[in-house]
Amino acid sequence: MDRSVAPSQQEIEKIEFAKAQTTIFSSGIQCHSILQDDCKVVKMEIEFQAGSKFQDKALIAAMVNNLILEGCEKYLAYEIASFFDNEGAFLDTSCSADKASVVLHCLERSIPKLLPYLQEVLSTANFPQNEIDTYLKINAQKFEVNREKVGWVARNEFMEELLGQDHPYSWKVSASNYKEVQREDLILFYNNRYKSATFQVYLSGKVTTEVLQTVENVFNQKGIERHGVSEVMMGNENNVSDVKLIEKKGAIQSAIRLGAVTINRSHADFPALFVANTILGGYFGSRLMSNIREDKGYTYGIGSGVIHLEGLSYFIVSTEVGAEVTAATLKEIEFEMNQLRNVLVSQEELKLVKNYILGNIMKGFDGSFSAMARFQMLNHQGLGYDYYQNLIQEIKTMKAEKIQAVARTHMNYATLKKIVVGKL
Amino acid sequence: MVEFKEHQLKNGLRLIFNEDKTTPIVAFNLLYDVGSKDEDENKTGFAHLFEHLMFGGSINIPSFDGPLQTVGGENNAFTSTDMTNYYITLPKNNIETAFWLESDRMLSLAFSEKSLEVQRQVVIEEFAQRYLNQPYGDVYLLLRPLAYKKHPYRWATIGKEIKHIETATMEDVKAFFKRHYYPGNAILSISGNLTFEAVKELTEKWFGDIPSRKKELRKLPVEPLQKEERTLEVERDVPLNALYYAYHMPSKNDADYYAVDLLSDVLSRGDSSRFYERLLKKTDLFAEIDAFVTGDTETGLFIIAAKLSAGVTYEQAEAAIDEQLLEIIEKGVGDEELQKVKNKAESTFEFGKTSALNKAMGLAICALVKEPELFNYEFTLYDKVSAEDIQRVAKHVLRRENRSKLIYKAKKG
Repeated sequence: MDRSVAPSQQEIEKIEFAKAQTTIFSSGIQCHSILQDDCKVVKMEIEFQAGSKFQDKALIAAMVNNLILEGCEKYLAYEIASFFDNEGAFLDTSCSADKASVVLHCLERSIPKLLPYLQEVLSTANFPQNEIDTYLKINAQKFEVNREKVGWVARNEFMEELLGQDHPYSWKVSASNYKEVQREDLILFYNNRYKSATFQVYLSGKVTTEVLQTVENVFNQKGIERHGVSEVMMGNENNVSDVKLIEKKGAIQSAIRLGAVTINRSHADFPALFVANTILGGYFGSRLMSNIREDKGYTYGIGSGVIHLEGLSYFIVSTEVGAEVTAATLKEIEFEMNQLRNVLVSQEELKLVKNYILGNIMKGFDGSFSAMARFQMLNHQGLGYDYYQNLIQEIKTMKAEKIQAVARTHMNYATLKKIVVGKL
Repeated sequence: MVEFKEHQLKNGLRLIFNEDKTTPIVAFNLLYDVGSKDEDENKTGFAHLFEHLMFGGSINIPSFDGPLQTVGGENNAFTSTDMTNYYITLPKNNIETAFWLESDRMLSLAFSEKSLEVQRQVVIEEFAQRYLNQPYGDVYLLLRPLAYKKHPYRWATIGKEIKHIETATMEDVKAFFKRHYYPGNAILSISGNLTFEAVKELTEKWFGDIPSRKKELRKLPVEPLQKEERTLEVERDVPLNALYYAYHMPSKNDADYYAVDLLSDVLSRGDSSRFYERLLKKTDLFAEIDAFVTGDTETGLFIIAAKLSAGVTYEQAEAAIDEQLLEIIEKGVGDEELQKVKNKAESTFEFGKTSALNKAMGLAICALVKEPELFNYEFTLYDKVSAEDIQRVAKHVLRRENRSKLIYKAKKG
């Protein structure tokens, strides 16, 4: 056996998806589910149109999302926490720029007991003042810790640098915000975006027909007219941009964030941009990793990506590097971006990246929880499963020339907004 | 119930296989029975540095990642005090590539100087990013040597100090490989839509001719019984004062391990736990407070970690924590409270069985700690714990003379 020869390789021809089923309840609530029969657990995510882009004041969206479980007309925060803890369930919240969710992980057998209670909590939340005070106290102190972390500071500043101060995605947190929140702000936001607003439900795991029926019985209540919610408009352009330095004395490492607004998943150039980004910094063997980590040892990790919000997509490069090699790293990032624009990618590298991407898409369907995360992404972007079929076809036939052309149009180091936190 | 089959090669390699017909990928997990506890005290951080070097090319294959990515695969690895674990996911049709790559680096590495130089630098940056350039990042670099005086758990997996990484030589690297990387010191665990016969055949084909070596008996220094409380005070440039308690606790092979783990859950798992409800929310003393176990295979630590609110003194904070500990020692826990943390443990285990990668990794780790069956019955060990057990282990573990205390003060000004 010759160990230097790789085993024969099989092309990835087709990817079988575990697809979500969607039911629309009479009240307009959409319920999506993927069944995985060989397990005993269920994940239920209830998703509201209540991300930070809808707030008028910093912190409001995140606080409403977090405090919605901290008291309602009938129950105190402790009683709510105990009720779910006693069943061995995990009840969490999450809030992004676009959406806010309440996520329940539990044993399937607990569903009939937990759902009516959860419905009661979500529809009668009352935001007790003492819970608001506790939240502000704890999080103001966490903020003090976070602002010592260069990576956190860079993240906090990035969207404002990218989009300008007044953009709905540009919210950042400062110490004074923790003194400005009023209970009325929270109640107003809750009334508009949770209490009587429509929402979507994502179910994965042991989603039996009984589970689905329980969800419908509990959440599709008669007599409640659920209204749609307003959207906000976006827009932006990229101009040549210098580095913004936020100095931090004594920093051993600098955090670097570079980015620009770019095309969305529906754009004809997107598959080529996706491949170009993967080559640049989208996987462990990427050019940025090979050059800046594996060749020079400047960093523990560096990556690039295309992030898709609703109505706005952006390209980002992100890393933390030894403070003394900050400038050298920026130079290498510029070099690698120019390489993509100036030199055709080799057949060998292209083949590798294509297969890597296809394998990675396949991995996104390992188990119903991952498969539901893929569906959720499609749903947010207003796409169907044909998005994946098209993407796979486009990637399989992608030419080096196309990647170069797209890099020339959409990847320009000079017009990236640039933040360095630490030293330069 | 996760079904699995086992097979052992003549050279000592253990194979565990779980057939999962529902997943499009295969999870391929190779675990080596070597962790930072196996390091020389003058060459710490080596197991982890070595994990990085495993990606620098093997005897017949110049690059590990490239060929794997070419067939649509992905991989990663981690090192802990007790193990070094490498895992791959890839489309099932290309499973043989995983066998080819992993068997070649078990056979021998390329030992390139360039790879050593670069990975040394990468690990130094990792040290900086995770432990030095983060507020409170060096806590466990301080707490471990306070709690342990003899046992190799006294240094963190990243190493005692950067110098040990800086001075590592190629001879050290080769010696480490020879000592710890061989079939009898490894467990291969696979989950996916394949047959046991096919997997067995591939394992024999690729790993069967790797020379066997006699498994060394591990002789770790025994940690002497701690007889009095230890205290260390440091000042750092952080916003809030912090306080850490570390208590010695039973190993994972001791039935009391599970009682101590549940004890930490009663104190701090979930928003209805004692610390969260009574200390974080009802008082203004803390910005954060947690209790948890380190989960090590050998005798590990039960840790309480707290950040104090501005203006709160250490005396006030300690008194409040000690009052909670005393209460559980004197009065124990209620049946309902115990059932609650058991239910949490049960659902956590069930979520841990929902992907091929979780299953392959879980079976391998259980095989290392005790036996692969543990993956299916570990919850029953939690379920057996009684309220009396919790009170008994609380009394035994939460003794002041069993405690190491780290006072981590915020620098003024």
